Amino acid sequence: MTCDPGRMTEFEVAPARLLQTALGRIRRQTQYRRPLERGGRAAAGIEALLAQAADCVAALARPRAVFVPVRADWTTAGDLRLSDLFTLTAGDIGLPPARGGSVTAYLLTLGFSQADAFARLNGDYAAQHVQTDLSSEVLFALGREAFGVQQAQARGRLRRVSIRTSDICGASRLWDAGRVQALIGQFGAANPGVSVTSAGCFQPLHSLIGLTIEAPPEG
Amino acid sequence: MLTEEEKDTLFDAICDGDRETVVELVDKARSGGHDLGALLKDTMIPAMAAVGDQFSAGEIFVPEMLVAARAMQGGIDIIEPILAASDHEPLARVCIGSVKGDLHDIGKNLVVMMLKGAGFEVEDLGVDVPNEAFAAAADRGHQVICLSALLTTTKPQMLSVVNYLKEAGKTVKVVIGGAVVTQDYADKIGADAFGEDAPGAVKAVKRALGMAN
Repeated sequence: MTCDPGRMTEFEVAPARLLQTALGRIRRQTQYRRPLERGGRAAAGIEALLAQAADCVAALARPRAVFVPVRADWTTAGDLRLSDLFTLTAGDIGLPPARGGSVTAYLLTLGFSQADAFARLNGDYAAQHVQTDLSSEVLFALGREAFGVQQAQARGRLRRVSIRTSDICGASRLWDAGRVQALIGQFGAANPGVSVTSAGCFQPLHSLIGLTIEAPPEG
Repeated sequence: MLTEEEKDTLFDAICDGDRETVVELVDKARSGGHDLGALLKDTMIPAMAAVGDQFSAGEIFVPEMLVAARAMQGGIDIIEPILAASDHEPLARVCIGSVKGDLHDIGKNLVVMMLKGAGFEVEDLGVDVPNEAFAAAADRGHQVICLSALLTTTKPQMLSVVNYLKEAGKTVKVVIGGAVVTQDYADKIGADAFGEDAPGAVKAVKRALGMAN
């Protein structure tokens, strides 16, 4: 995988490798680790659910990461005007005021819907729940892999700005769905089928969008 | 017939998530002409209630509850068609869905499992459910409508559903839950009850129906 700064980059990652990482991480989550450590029937049942969920994700997922450069105009106050779409303040970005730098938008998705997964799991609610937990970890694994590649290609320091359109525990640093829709529009034909509801919910559910800001190389 | 010892084993098998044993014992009860409605009510539902209590007390985690619910479902799959063919009535008919704009199903699915495990007949409307679909469920005879929202941005949709049902003249009970929902919010929008977690949702449905305090 290569990521050429300043150009649209797209990669698809084989689910198997991401799943291996994701399964390791989910087993370290307290809610899974503790009962697995306790052993017995419950642990065996959880292992079976994890295996079922992993099979489902392996069969359905087409993990893809797309990076597109976005025209960015920086104000003296450190605010950022993106492709004449909208302005982001330092607070929106969640970082101290930046002093310029190139901006790339990223879009990550596993490429399958919850409905597809539920059908594949034959309507098994327990397996669907574990699939959802596991898919979150697979998505994060995809993100780490994609950013690792991007970082390796970057000439300056790379800062990642995740965008959250909605939150389960507060409303800080949330972007409204309209701005996210506008940003999704920047991907054009490279968008691997990701959309957002008016309430800010991604479809497919296991998708993420955000920005990376590459600081100018220190001279 | 199952012996008292076998009923205790069935209870423990549900709590431990031992689906194989649950299926084996329920199948034995069916073959032996056991009153399956009584077995469900006196042994299996209390077992799932105990699992819910353990979860609410922080003694077990969600995955353990899932495994228990799945074991319970193994038994219900045998019992349900038999009871459906008889005069047996479920505790009540409940429908559930994630509100319009919310595509998350994780909390809703847990509640579906716990409600089924408590003896309710549950219709799952899925995610991104429009107000009209909830009203139609009321018309189909559901006594309770459970609304799930996981996001700060979809929570206000719950008020929209409550108002829609009121304006449409539906007398169905409304129970709400989800990570962003509180009892204060339930009171504010005029919901009949609030469930703080999946076992709590079962209690909330019972409260809404006047089956519990």
